[in-house]
Amino acid sequence: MTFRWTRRHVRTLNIPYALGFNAELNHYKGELNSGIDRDNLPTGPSGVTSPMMVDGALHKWGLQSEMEIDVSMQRHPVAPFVGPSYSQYLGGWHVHLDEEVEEDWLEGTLHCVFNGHVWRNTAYASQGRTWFKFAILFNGAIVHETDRIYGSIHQVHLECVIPVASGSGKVQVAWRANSPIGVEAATADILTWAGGKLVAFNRYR
Amino acid sequence: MTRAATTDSVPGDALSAATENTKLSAIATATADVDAANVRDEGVDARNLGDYPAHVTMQMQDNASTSATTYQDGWTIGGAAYGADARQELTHNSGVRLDLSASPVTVQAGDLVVIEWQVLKELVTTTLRASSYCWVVQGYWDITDATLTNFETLSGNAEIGNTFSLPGQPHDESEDFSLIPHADLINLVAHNAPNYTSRGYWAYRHSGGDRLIYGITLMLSGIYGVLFSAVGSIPRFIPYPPGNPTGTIDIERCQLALQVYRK
Repeated sequence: MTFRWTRRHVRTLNIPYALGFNAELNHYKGELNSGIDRDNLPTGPSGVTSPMMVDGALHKWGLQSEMEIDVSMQRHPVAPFVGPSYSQYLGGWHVHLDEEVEEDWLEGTLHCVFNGHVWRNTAYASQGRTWFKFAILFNGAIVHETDRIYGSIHQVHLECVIPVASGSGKVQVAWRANSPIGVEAATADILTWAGGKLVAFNRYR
Repeated sequence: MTRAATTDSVPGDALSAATENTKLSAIATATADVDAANVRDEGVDARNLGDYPAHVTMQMQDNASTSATTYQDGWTIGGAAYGADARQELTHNSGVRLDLSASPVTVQAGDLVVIEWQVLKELVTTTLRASSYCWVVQGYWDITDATLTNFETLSGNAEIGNTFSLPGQPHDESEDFSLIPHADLINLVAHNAPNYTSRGYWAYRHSGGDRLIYGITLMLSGIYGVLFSAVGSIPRFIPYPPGNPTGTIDIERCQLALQVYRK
């Protein structure tokens, strides 16, 4: 609708004309019945505020907390160590399946953040050549990854913004560490990580 | 509200004030409680949003702009055993503490609270030559009152210290901290690592009644270590390192930010 009336006020002695009165009133009524728009609503601080909006009107998000390396990769009760050994893992990308964020996103952008801390065994490292990487996956494809990190104990922070179409989407974390260099024992501990937060924040177009 | 419902007048009907008043009342009722049933699809534009109503607040404390001459280099933790409570609040420059006591931030049920920090470490020296040791920056907040004397960990879990991740304890519950490695493999001999920026990120969805945040701060503690040993021994994440290391760490800059998103 438009805010300005296209009808005119009834004139003196004209009210008893029923059809004219109906036209006036129905135009007014039509405005209220799904016709209010930006022309009617106030602007600035007195405009639409948070309590007026439904949940998810502008954005939605998914959150995973207390993430740690997959249970399938932990060696309980063989050892108290919570990561894999070289007998379990040979260096490829491992998608973390225990925790992920999956939502029906709307067209716009998806702001993905992962943060956690990592320990990489360097006890058998030859000249410091052990490394690890982390990545964020969207529907199975890597959308952001770290460089190789040649260290033992690190904080990993990954953050990216990607365009998304409307529809279901899954955000996951994956990691990899280099394969044995040749001196590691099959039972040597490789890597563990914990303290993970994964947030996916969908801002609509 | 709902849609206004009126009945048209018919030519020839007797004019009745009550009939017309009923119509006007229906409209008056409708306008008193306008909601989604009344607004046209895509009828709200950006200019109708006085502020971004889904982003409640963004607060930040940034020390990066302070001139170099005021840096307090030589931020030190030493002497005390690493396993003891060697915790200190980061007080670099004017302090990284985010003071909201004058105007606390209100968090409502369903809000997403995000607290982020960056800590730039410039130099670490230690008596212990090993790469798998670290310092820990843990986030704290005061949600009690404006005196800022009741800081507690963001997660509500134990402070990192004597009770932190002893072998066999779950470490996944302690996620409100970030680590600073004090050496890497390249500089293992010199045990003097390159600059390192530790990024902390803590987010949670609030439930329950309103919560007021009066202040946020960071605490630094150390030194912790991760040890490799044979299977069957105690290698779990961050047990206490042997060797009684002492050390000095220089924190050059800190940034601390709070963001609250609603709905």
